[in-house]
Amino acid sequence: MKKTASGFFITGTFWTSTVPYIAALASLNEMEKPDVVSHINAMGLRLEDGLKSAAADAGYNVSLTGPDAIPFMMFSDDPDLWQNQEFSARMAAKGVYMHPHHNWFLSLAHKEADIDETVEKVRDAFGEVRETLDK
Amino acid sequence: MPPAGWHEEVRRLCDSEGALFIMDDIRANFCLSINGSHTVTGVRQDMVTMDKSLASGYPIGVLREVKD
Repeated sequence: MKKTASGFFITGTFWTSTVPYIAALASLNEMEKPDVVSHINAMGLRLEDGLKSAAADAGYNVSLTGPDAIPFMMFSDDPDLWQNQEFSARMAAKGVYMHPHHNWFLSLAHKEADIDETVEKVRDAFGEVRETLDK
Repeated sequence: MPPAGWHEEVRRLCDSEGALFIMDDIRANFCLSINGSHTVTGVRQDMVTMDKSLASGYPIGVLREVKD
């Protein structure tokens, strides 16, 4: 058998990448279900509205850019994104990852309760950032 | 998002220069349409790249040729 095995060669381009293919098929199957895209955008819009409300209450002037599904927030007068980094650090400490200089990505897994919890934490983070700036 | 007419201008420039219009749709992917966010531009691309959310984080990439 060793002699036979040494006499032939076998190879395959995607042998080590079958899991991503299955993951892609599973992802596409989920995405094809009704209302997935609208849900993702609705969650993004809910987050944007919550951020605007929280910012206004905290006295911040922020801008939100990008499609609702992949929004990004910037503080006014913060060209080097220092406040964004401080804000993101505060949010990360609360268990919410909001990238300081890249779009955020909503997903099908995000539900209204997740967004509302995030906005509540944003309100706390805004206050903490303000305290840091005032020092 | 690009201002209105931006994609049309890229298409026009590509056509006038004989270049391919290759759009990176990796960031937006399916956020704007199940058919790919590039399909909502109203402009035909020649090639499109997609990955990341395509496999929900597993490493995969797609270079897609768009035919008439």
